[in-house]
Amino acid sequence: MTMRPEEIKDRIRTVLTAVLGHTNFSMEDGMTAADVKGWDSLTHMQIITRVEKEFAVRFKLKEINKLKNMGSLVELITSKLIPDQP
Amino acid sequence: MNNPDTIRKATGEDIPFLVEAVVSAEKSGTPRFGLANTFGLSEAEMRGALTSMFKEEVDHCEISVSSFLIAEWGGVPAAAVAGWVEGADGEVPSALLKANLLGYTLPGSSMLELARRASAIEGVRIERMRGALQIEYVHVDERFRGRRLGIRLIEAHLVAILGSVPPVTRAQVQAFADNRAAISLYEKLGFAVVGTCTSDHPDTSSLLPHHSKVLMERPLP
Repeated sequence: MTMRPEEIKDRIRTVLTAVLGHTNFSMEDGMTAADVKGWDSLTHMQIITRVEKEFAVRFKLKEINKLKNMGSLVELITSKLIPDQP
Repeated sequence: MNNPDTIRKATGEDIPFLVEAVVSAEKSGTPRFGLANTFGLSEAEMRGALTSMFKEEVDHCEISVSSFLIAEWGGVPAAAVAGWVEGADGEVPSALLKANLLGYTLPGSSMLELARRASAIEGVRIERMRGALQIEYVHVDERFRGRRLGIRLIEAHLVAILGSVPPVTRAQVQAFADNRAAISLYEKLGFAVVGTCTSDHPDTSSLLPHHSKVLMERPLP
C-alpha cells in the first residue's frame, strides 16, 4: 500500500486533534512537538500509539527516538507502508 | 573509614539495582509508586517494564543505564544516581525519549489508563532545561544510609561534566515538595529552590507521593 504525504498528514492531523483537543497546528514538515500546545510527554505516548493504529504499522524504538519533526514522521510512515520487495 | 569502595559508571549487570533505585525514588518514602499508578500497572509489572526499558540502551534520559553512577560498598552496589545533560544528543528532549520507551514497552491498555489519569499527573511535571545537567533518581540502599553516598555520587556527576563542550553552566534536580530530607541534601550541595508546581486535581495525591514538586538549581563553574 502506498499513500501520498498529504493523505498521511491528514490522518495524522486527525489523531493529533483527537488527542490534543484542538486544531491549532500547521502540519508543516518542520513542526516539532515543542511547537504544538499540549504535545508533551504524556500526550506523545498516546499520539504515537494512535498513529501506529491509524496506519496499522509498528515503529521500532530507534525509529521513533530519531524523529525530529512532522516531516520525519511522515517519511517513517511512508517507509512502513511500502510493501517488501519479493 | 567512610568512603565507598569505588564510584563507577553503571553497566547492564546493575539493571536490577537500577530498577530498585527507580522504584525507591519514585515512591519518595511513600507507598505510592507514581510511575506504575499512572499506567494502571502493579509494582511487579512496572518493575518488569523498567528492566526491559533499561535493556534498550537508550541514552540521555532517566531510564538509561549510561546515565547512572554507582557507589559500591563492600563489593556490592550501595547507591545510584542518574545524571545527564538535557538534549545533549540531538534535539529530542529526555521526556520524549522516556515517553518513547514507555510507549514502546508497556501494553496498549496502559495508554488508555494514561489517558484517564493524565489530568491528575500533568500539574506536577516540570520541564527540563536544555543544556543543563539533570540529576534524577537519587537512591541509597537503606543498609548503607548515613554514609554520604548520595552526596558523593551527585558530586561525581558535577565533576564529570566539568570541561564539557559546550560548557554546562547549570545543574537541576527535582523533588517532591514534602521530601525535606532530599531537599536538605540538595541544599548542602548548593542547589536552591527556583520553582514549584502544584496540582489541585483531587486524584493526584492518591497516584503520586505528593501533589507538589520543587525545581532546584545550582550554577556550575
